[in-house]
Amino acid sequence: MCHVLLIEDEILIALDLQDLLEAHGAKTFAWAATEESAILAAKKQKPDFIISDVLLAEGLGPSAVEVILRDIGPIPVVFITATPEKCHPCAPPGKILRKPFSHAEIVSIFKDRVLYGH
Amino acid sequence: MTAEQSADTPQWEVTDLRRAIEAAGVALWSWDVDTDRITMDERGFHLWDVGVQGEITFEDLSEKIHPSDRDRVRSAFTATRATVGAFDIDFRILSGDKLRWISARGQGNDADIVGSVMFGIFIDVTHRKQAEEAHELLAGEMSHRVKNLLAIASSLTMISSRSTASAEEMAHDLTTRLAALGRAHDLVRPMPGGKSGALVGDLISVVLAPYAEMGEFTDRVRVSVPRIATGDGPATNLALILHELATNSVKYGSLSVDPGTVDITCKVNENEVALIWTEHNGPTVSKPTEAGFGSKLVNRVVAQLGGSFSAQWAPAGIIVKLVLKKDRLEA
Repeated sequence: MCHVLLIEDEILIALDLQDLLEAHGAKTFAWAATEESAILAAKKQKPDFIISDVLLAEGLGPSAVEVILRDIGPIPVVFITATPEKCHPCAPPGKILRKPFSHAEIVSIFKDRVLYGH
Repeated sequence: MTAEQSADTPQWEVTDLRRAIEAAGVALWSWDVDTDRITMDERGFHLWDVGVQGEITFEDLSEKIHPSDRDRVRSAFTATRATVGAFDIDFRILSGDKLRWISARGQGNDADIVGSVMFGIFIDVTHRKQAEEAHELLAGEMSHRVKNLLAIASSLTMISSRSTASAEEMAHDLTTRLAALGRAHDLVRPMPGGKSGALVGDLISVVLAPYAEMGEFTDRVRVSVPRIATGDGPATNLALILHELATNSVKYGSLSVDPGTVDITCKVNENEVALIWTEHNGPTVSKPTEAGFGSKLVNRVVAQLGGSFSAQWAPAGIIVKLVLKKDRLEA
């Protein structure tokens, strides 16, 4: 049972990430394209892993993640962004990957942090 | 300058020089290095917004300099005592809540200091600085967009690789999808209201153009859509949905046989836009057993834009209905 929250307003990227993590053991997914819907989605079902973009259709990924971590507790987070300099606050245990991103790197972080709980 | 060249130098009067200075919009200053007194012309006092008062010290002026630039300007001015040659420094000053960029230029070579006095000009470079800032912003935005597009292209590559069995098939799917995105991007223009986007009718026509004249028949794709706008984000997703519908039709539906046609119509009801894709004269179709990329994509677009999606596998041809919120489509 592994639930992933994808905070990403580019549908193609989110579809790809879902396929990728599904192939590596993620079971269910929630999608959010805005800051507000990301917080709502996390409250509805606690994610075991979060992948978040920084600049969203409305609002910011890091701001949503900050609220989620504060209200729900520690969850492994990976930020994937074309604007790493705008990732603020990139809450620990947040990790930043630059777009275009490496699929292998995401899989390895997902396995380390979620499946093996490091 | 040699003595020979100086013979050609025009012998202008002070009033001529003053007129030229006036036209150039520069303010003149002199700075007594020993007493720290600065003398400026009237334009100088206006530029600094300090009220005409004959003499002023460097310390007085530095009060007006933007706090982030103050130390830099101070050390540059101090260094002019020791620097050989011309100096040139740009900095911001604050007058009230207004910000102004000033460029100070002068001679810092001791040889040019007559009786410990340095001479130079101030010029208002606010417009140039603002243009530079706008340019940097645009370049940054451009770089962000390019990286995002590369990320989208790489996701589309992965998606295409997962649903195909051979490299040829994958290359075909990927390149035709990228071409559909490219055609959509070609259409996206600044729209009234400052946003960029395209007209839905144009988007449909341009994405489906490769399929309109296949085989012996022309006019295989008929588009009848009222004038509705789509924002650039929804436009690219809509283009991909249309592309997937068309490629499915070419493989299994009405576009796979010669007399087959597709009608695309659109109804607008207040905030709802209903796009209807109806296939005619095709082979008998049945619902696929597995959800492909097209249906995953359309479900996400519908979730993101607020709407619904339904497909009817009628024996006479598939009927797809895509309902989207007009305001979200335009955003």
